Amino acid sequence: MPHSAILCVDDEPTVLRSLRDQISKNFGDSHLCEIAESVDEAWEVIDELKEEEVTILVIISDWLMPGVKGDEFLVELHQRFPNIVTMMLTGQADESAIERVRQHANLHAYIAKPWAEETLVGEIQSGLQKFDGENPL
Amino acid sequence: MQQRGKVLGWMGRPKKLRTILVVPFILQIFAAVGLVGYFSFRNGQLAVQELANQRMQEVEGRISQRLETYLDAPHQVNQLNQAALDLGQVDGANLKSLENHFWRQSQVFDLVSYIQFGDRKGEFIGLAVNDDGSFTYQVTEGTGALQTYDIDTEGKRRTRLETSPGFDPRNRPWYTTPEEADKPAWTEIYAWVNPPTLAITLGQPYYDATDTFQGILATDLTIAQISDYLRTFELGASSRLMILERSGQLVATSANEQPFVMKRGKPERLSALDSKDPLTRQTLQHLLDRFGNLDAINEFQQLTFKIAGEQYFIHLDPLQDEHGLDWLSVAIVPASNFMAQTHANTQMTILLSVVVLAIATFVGILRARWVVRPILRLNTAAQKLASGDFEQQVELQRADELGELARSFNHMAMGLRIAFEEQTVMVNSLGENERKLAEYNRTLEQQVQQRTEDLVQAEKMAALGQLTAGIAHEINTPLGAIRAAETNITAALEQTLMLLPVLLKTLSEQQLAAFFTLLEEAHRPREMLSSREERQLKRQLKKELQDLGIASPASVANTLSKMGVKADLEQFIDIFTASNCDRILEVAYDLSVIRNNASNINLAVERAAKIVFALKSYVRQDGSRKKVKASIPETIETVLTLYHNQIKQGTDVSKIYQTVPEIYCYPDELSQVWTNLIHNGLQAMDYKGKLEIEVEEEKQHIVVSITDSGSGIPSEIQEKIFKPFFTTKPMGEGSGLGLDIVRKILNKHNGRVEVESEPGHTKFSVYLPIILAS
Repeated sequence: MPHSAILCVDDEPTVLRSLRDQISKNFGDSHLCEIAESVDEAWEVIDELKEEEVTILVIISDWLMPGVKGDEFLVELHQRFPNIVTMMLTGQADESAIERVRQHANLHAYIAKPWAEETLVGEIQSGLQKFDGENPL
Repeated sequence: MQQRGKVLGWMGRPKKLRTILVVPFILQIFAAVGLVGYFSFRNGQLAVQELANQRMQEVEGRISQRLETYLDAPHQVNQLNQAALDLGQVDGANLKSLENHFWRQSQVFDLVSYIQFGDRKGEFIGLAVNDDGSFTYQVTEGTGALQTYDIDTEGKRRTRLETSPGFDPRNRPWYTTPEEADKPAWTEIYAWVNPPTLAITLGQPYYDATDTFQGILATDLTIAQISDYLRTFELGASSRLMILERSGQLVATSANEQPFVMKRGKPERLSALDSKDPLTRQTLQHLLDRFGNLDAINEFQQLTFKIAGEQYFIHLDPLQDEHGLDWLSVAIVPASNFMAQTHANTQMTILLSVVVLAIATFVGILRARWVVRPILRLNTAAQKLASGDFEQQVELQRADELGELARSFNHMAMGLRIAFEEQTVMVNSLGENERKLAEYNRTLEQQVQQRTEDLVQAEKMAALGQLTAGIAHEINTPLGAIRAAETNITAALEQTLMLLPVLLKTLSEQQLAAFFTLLEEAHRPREMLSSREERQLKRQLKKELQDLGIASPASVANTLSKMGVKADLEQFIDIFTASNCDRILEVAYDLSVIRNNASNINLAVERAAKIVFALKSYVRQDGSRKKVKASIPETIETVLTLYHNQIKQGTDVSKIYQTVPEIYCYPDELSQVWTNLIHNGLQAMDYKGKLEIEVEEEKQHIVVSITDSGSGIPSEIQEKIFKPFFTTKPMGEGSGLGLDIVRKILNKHNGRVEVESEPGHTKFSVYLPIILAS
């Protein structure tokens, strides 16, 4: 059981499932893939994984979601967990929102929906490289 | 008609002005001349009367004087005879001595016609002055007969002419009347036979020195002479002078008749009533009518009366003396006699008046013309001026007010001409300006129309723009899911195809059965679990697996939870305990991935199709612009679909749709209505809160009410929110046309929109009439 995880946040279950399947397929051996359908749930998952001593390495968030939007979530997340690599996967996002995430949440990648698997995997891999050579545990 | 009125007015007015100037002037002259004429005439009349009175009084005075003299003569004769007797110049006893005395008296008193003496013994002597101018003595000389003697020029008795026997003077009235009176007294007037005339005698008793009555001295007077005298006065035609006794009998008259009448050869007294002269008769009749009888007239009277339309002046003057004479002098003069002069005066006055009038009228007309003509010229010029002919100048070289008026007029006309020219220039430029203004207006209208269209379009685009973000997301999301699912399926399929045949060979019979049961369980149709439910499931599975003593329960639980397996885990124990458990579960998971992703594709495609359909519905422009039958809830659903993203962010939407009939409407426009109302509602509560959408049927209307829990609309602006360009949104976010468009669209549907708002509850109710046939 890996002790690191990649968290996906999107309000659309089909997207989440597809995303999880893709990530599990590519990174399943070394990392868990957790999903959350809203920002609130994402915080729950973060807490749960912490309890289970699972380190979140990457968070991929949608932008347009009910309640708290993706940019806000990522900015807050970055303040609390500056090490987590932040990515946005969204069908449409406000330019200013993306810019804010870049500046305040050290946005690693912005991927537009529909996305190509290679792009997603490539961005995750480049994000994970940050952790190479250091022991996340 | 108007032209005619104008002409008539033009002709009528100056006449009137001239009349006004001339007529009062002439009337004044008429009045003045008339008054002068009247007073002149009246004064003339008074003067005539005065003149007549004076003339008549003069005549009367002379008559009265003459009569006095006339009637005094017998008295003087008697007195002289008395004196002669008293002085003894003559002897009363010798009557013959009186002859010469009488004769001498007759030479002095030529008016006396008879002088006589009769004594108490019946002796008589008298001297007669005959009609032919001769003298005769008449004596009795004791014979008792009256003997008449011729007289020579010396007064001497010549021959006896005649003898009348049986004569006694004491029976005669001239003797008896004074004897009875015992003083001098007149006899009655009596008629003389030869010559026929009227006479009167004044008798006087003679007392001798011893105061003894001796006889009567008497003197006769013929009255015919008075008539002659009266005729000597010239009082004009139709005038009469008369002397009447109180009985009405004529004493004397100036009329052409004798004051007596001949009957059977003897003269008799004549009453004025029986006169042949009508004027005499009428005069007496008038006096009798007026006074009753003539005795009543005791003083001078001055009368006027009319006979046969002619006016007469009458003077009545009583003639009386101490000897019993009591007559009435009557003078009658027609007024016309004195009018001649007055008439001439009157005629002269009238003539003068006429001349004065003629001159005054002529002068008045001249003056009026002098005044009116320049006014008429001014008037004509002014009328031409009024009708727009500004080239008017009035040449009037006068120093008076009219000249000044003409100059003022010319000045004014020139001013008007200049003003008119200026006005023409201004009107032209004004016309030009108006034309330009109209052009600007047209352009402006076009611009406004264009701008309004732009704004309406912008509003639509703004609403659309709001949607675009969401729609891009909405479309891209399922697309992303689909693409991901596709790669997942492909990858899983490849892996499965590679692993499954090998795996199937390695599995025992029990393991195989459990494997298929697991697949069956994983593929059981069910609702997709939420991620949270999945995590719960995972925890639950992990615990169950731990309880079953399975190695690496977390990993197995992870896989199973992703597959959605909830069934009793014991049936899969053979798999869990197998050495290649990981591989078996991997293949099973791959198979579920194929299955789940295929299902995901389905869901995503459905979702995308729904969005595309909604978008298509939303932007559809029906070219025919005809109403079509549509379901109102469906049009609402379309909008909700498009707003799915905005709504899902934090809005709780509750929908209560009654079953309502489809109605004829413009569905795309109604969609715009719902879009505007829902969008406004969402904005009002900042996408967080409760949105209630209700559809119900009420009184032949479909009522759609959209209620938000936003801050509400202040009552003071509720009136304004439907007005164009009213907006509470910041610049650029809203055109302010949204609710105006809503209202316009509803007007097209004969519907209406109402709003009620309080903080936390703002309800827009749309009423659409139920129209089931086009």
